[in-house]
Amino acid sequence: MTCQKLPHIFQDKIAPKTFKITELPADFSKQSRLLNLGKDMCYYSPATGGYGIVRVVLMVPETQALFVSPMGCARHGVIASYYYKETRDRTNAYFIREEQLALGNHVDEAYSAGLEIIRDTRPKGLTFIYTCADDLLGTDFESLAEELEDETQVAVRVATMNPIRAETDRPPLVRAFETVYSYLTADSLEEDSSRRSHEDILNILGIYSNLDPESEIHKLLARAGYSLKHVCDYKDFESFLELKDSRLNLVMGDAATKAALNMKSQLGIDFLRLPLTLLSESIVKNYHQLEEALGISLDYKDIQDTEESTIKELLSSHPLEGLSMTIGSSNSYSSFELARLLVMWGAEVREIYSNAISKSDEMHLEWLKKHSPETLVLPPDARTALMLNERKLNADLALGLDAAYYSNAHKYVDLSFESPLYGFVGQRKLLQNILSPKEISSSFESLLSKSSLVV
Amino acid sequence: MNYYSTLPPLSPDYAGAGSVFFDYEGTILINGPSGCLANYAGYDEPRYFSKKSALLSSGFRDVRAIFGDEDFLIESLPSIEVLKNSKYLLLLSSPSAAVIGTDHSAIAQNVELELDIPVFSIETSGIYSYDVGAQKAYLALAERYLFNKSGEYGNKPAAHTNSLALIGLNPLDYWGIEQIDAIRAAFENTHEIVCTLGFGGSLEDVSKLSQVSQLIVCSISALELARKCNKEFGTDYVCGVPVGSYYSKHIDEFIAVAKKPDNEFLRPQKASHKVLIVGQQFWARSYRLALEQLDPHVDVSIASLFLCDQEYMRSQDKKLSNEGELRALIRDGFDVIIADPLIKKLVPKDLTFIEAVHMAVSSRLFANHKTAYVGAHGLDEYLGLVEEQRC
Repeated sequence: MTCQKLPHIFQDKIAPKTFKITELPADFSKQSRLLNLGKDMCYYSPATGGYGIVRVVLMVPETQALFVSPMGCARHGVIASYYYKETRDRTNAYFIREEQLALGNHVDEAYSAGLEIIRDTRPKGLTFIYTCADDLLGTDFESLAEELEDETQVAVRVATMNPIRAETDRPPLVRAFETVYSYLTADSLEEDSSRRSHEDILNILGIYSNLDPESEIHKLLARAGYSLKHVCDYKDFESFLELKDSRLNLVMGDAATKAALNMKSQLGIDFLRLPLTLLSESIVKNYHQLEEALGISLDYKDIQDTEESTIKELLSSHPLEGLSMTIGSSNSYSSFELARLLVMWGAEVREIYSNAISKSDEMHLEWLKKHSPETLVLPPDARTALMLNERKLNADLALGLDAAYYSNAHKYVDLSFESPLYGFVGQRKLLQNILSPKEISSSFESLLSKSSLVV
Repeated sequence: MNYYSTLPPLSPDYAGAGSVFFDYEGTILINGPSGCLANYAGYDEPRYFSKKSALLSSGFRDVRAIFGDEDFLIESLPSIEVLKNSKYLLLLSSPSAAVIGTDHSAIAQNVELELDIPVFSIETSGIYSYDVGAQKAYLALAERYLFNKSGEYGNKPAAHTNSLALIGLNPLDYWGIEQIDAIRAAFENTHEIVCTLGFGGSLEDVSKLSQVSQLIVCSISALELARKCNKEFGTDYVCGVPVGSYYSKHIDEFIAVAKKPDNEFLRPQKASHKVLIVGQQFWARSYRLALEQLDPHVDVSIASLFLCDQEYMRSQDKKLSNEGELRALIRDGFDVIIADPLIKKLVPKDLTFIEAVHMAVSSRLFANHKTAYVGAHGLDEYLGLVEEQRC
């Protein structure tokens, strides 16, 4: 017996929700940026995913996480942690029983569980993660954390995995980034006269690892006496705390803006929005911002000329004209900016899979309306999106495994969350990856199951 | 304390309920944020890519929690495109919808008035384990198609003497596909398998349960259904599945020994070795019967983090509440532990460990493991490791 597909639901074709790029509004200030509003049913695509709340809060080294939730809520996050050995031994779960929800006494047991974790593993920090049930009940985890911190003298923080707040100004990922950097509070290091200042550190936040080590940004900043750091660079908690003395916070993903604002008010660290980018115009803009904020000159022109010249040669010998492409959103980049870059290189961008338009997407959206008006935008969580990958081959090449799945492409470029490409070198490397794409060698089921995507 | 540091959260009730319906070609809607659907679809439904049923989330948000959710579902559901070709609609509740007390039964009744397909609601909450949800799902199906005489398919009691149905044959209990095939293969030579509940088949199959002479209750979640069938139709039932070559070849003997009440089995006074099987009660029971057939002096205990029925427990068996209890039990003088691979981390290195994948514990992590733990080759791993050591 085999598990054969019996697509009864495909007897009548259901068109996936689709927007012509030219139909999307120019100004989102008066309407939702979500392309599939919370007023509708949602589909969950097996290609959907991100980094996951557990992995985000556990970016802080030597800390533990404790889910306090009904059995069902924490399963995907904890199971996913088995794929990442560094987080598995730091992920714990306490399950609420039904009567406890009514009585609210699960908080006492959650406290005891937290105490047990601290006693058994001696972490440098513990993060409680609570879910929608406690959100709706209004359980006060902040007080619980304070009390446990007082008793143990170990830093205790709170994060949420409460997607019912996904459309508020403090959705789970935003809150998770706030939690990560809340460990850098002013009193997190005892005053120590030998403590050195870290005015040379520029702290990257909003993405999930430091930038590709081959990116020119590292060299450019090193020449000016600065180094880029990311929370994941640190193996121990004490070292991680040096980020509290960073010269500047660089927000590379919108979800960390609140965390940066918190650090500005609490630690006095200023921040720049410096989107993760591979588009020359945006790279230059980012470098200008850095020069201005730091009062330095980055002297990037030579590198820009060299890389752009290489790109020109590559495009001359391997033109992208006639290459149809699709772009996914399970990565840290702006899908719309990537589309713009690809169109500039001559490729035909047929489809972009995105559930939302961010503020920084707007300028790229306008550009695409003029230069690639045939591009379609499809939200993968729309209820009709279950038909997306039932369509015939829809592109020669996909950016991202999720895009490959949706468009049934046979080739794709992996856009990893780890060590993301950046700058002019990143731009050239992306083109090289496009010219040497990965083949879909086994089934999507197998590839997606092994991928690092976590909802 | 209900605290887990080594094992993951177990598969929740809404996943168990969904998995019972999945092959029936309809639409399953989990009333909750999309992450709840992702738990089931991405982590507890190995058939997800087959799209036998469409899985949707209601996209539950805070505003709906505050102002109530029922009207939204009643108004929106009838217009869902995929329902046009669906054979059923199943409503399941996530923890958030359960906390605010959403009345899914009323929603189902209202929506059914607008649709020409059956609409089910099963009260899940994400607080209980998968087998609780599966149990409710089997009963809901039976109430509609089997016990309700005015049901769509009606009852046609005409039992063949060698006909049987495999009920509770669910991927969350038995996976991968090789295990399910092995169970079926064991019965196919001697019996007519009229239908299977939990994997494969169609909604119409439910009504066929009244036509079989024997129910093979593959998992604890189908026990209540079997008991009701016995009460309504006098249908005989057996709890377990054949494990090992002997019982797979001698099905009648398996049925006879599996029918014997557990309190009639005597514990060996001097054990050849002590074995602990951790898992779904009826699989574990079957494995124990196979080991006892192999060696009458083996002393086997069963422990489960899921539902357990007292009638099928022996004095040494344990219903566990949490990981801590399991951790303590494992150190209670056993020579061999047979359990899901994730449980291995709780087991001291000097004990023999035999893997038997239980998807309700380890999700998709070991979905490709081929080691048989049921059917003709179900004891091969045990024989390779344990019997070899004894020689």
